[in-house]
Amino acid sequence: MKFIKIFAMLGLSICSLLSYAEQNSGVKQIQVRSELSSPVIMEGHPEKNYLKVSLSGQKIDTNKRVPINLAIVIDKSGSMGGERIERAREAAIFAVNLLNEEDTLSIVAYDNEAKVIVPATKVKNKQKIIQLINKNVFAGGGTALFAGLSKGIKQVENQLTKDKVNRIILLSDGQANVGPSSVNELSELAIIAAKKNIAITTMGIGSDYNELLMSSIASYSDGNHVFVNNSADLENVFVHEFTDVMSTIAQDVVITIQLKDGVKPVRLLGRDGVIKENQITVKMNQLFSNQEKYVLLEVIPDEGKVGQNKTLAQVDLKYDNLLVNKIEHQTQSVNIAYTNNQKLVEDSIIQDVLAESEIQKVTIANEKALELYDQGMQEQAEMMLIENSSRLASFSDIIVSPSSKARLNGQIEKNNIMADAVKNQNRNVSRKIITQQQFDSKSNVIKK
Amino acid sequence: MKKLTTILSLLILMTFISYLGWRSVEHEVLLRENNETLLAKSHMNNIKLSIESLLNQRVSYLSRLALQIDNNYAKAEYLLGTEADIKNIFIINKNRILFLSDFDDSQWHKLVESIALDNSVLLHQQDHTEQFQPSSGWYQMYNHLIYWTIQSDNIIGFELSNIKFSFDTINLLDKQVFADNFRLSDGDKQIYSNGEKFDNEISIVFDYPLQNWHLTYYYPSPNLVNLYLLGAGVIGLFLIVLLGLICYAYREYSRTLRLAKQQVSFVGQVSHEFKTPLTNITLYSEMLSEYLEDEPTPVPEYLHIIRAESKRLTRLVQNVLTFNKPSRLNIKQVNLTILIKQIYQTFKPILEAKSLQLNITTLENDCIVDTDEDSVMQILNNFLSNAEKYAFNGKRIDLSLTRKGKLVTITVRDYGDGIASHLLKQIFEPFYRVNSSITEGVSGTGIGLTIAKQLASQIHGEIKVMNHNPGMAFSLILME
Repeated sequence: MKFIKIFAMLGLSICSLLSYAEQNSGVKQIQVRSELSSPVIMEGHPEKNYLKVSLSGQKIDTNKRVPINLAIVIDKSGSMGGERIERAREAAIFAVNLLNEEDTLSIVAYDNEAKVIVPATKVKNKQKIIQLINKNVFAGGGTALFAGLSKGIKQVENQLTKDKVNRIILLSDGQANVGPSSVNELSELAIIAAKKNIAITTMGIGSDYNELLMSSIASYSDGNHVFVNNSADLENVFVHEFTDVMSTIAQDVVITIQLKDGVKPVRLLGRDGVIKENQITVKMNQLFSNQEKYVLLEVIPDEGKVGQNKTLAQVDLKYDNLLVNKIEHQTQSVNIAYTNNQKLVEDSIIQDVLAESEIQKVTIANEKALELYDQGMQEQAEMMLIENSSRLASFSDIIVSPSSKARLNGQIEKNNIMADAVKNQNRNVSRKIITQQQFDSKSNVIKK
Repeated sequence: MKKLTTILSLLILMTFISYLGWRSVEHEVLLRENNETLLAKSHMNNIKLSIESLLNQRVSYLSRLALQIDNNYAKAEYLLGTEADIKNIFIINKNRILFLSDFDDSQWHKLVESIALDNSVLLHQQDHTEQFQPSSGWYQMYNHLIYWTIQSDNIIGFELSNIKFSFDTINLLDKQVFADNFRLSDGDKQIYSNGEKFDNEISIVFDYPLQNWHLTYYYPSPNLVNLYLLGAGVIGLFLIVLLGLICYAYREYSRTLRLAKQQVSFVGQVSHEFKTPLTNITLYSEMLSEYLEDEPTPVPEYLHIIRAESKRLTRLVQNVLTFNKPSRLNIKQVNLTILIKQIYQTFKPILEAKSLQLNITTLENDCIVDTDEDSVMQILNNFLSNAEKYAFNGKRIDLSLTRKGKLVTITVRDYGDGIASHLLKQIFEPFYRVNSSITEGVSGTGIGLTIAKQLASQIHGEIKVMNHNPGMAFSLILME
């Protein structure tokens, strides 16, 4: 009896401890993990190692969400005529209906010139906004993308606060042809937006838009890039976008990795950042609750001695927690150990990190396939994509972690989609498909 | 012929008026267009000024940043990361590059190297005097727009982000104040456009360092249709009124003329009817007077009066008939000297009876002219009988014949009360009689001078009237 009592008490206390722990992790909506693909390496032979710093959002309360400050920038150039502009209108109206009084919405439409149709206002009088959309969004004219986007950024900026999700949705089906139109120039504009903590999601409609331009805008401002081949899908794309945006839990994420002396940074895989000597800075505009975003850094550790266990890097994280409206700060150390036991090295490998690094390397290799494709070598490009895919498949065989397997399969799927596009679609469409897939891979996001 | 000239001159007058009217309308149009242009220019300058002030804001902002950087490279690095306006930064000390961002951009790298090699290139693009060397300014090369400033011997340069500047410009111009029709371009790249395109445009190029920027301002032509319509309406109305007035005057004139003609023809007919009874009265009164000559008791002068008055009436009737019917001319050589003498002889007793002294003051010898003797006679008769009737209180009448070159002038000068100068022209009009004391109680037909004038023009002569003090002179001028 006494034993049972003791057990019961113990059990209770464990339970309470567990529940406490659970509560604790519940308060922590954002989990940060920093790990090396090989935390234990052979001495004297420093090889490429991968450092992954990831942030995962945790969904906590579905009813409560962060207010959104959104600008929809609509291309109403001549090419958007007919169904496209109609769908764009519907999508904008759909967005109006999704938002509530806490949110701010502005709508900019551009052809040869950009016009603010709905200045940034709280979404209170939905009927009026819808009326304005129906009255003003008609196709005709050139594509002054720069001016349109500039005005969109300004509208969001007018209502910019740290406690809102600041975002722009850019809809276009064409090449920018009025005003600054090069990829560099618009990327710079995207960087300006990013510096203001505004993310731009670009939606390319049809097969005539400049995919490099649109994906660059999205990647430089940390937004999404979507290829909408059929304008009828626009509403679905909006749903996805809004699910993402409405689940934003953190903003303005700055990750600083300080490598210790002797450790050499090689490159960042996927998400881009600044490597300055031994300090690497990566910025993320926002983090959604349903995803894991990570930074993957290729490093070469210094030669160590058996038994040595030392700090490889200091990871410093700063972000705005939107759920509690607070700037949070976190520091983590990444250690590396040295051994002469090959078995120990192999056992300590963290497969998740390795799998991501493999995916990123394949993504880089896919870029080469795209280059070949652009040079007109369609078959070689297709072969390369399939080759990359099978490389991943064989790699997948030695992986046991199910989540890693799923990720690898995801990338294999992507490669297959791309190979299929190269084979079966015309050049314009397939380039867009490839751009979007590559954009997805490069954004270092693991959907949950 | 006369009608044609009148119509022609009228037409010319109307064309002239229309032309003048049209010119003033055009002037007004020009004025309005000019106003529009001026207005457009001021709007355009406004836009330009606000963009330039945007650039000037950058100057003060960048100078402040330069103070913060000084020698702190980490600060420069930090600013590059956070300030969207700054694309690149360099710090140069004499010929050494101390700090240079963005090593990837080879053009930027070369540009900074060239500045390091020769710091004075920064000054080349600016106006400055030899003595005064600016310590800050703009430098523009290729696509790089650099603001540089000297900070404790270091030259700190900021490359301004063109894109950020364009972005700010777009959002500046988006304000309601600038809701005009214009295009702003950087080279051939359109930065901003607003409103419609109109026919009229004016352009302006920005000052250094934005010399590649230009602004084209569009403005509509003022609504001139209304103005033209109004102008044409006013001119048209004026012309119609003018035409109406002329028509009215012409109708009045022709009516008076018709009336006068009717009067004349009536008088003519009546006069003709008077002729026969008059002849009878005269004849029988003469016969009666001859018959009564032998009567012992002298009959009073009644008969004599009847005869004289009948003669006068005959003369009047004859005058009227002469006026109505142009007399047949009998041109021959006439010795005017003799004619004058004859007239003198004829009129002297008649005038003396009225106690008027007739004198010949000048008499040219052998004045022979090809003319109609009767007409000359009648004209002079008229002059003299007028003098007799209206200037008898002058006591004196002078008759003269003068010759000047080919012109022969016969003048009858009286010393009466004369006629006011402004009435001189009207005395030749038919049935006109001067309304004054001199005509009172004197019977006259009112057509004597008219007939004289008619006769004179028939014999290619001319009648001239001149006021002398006292009295006046009537002259008949003939060509020898």
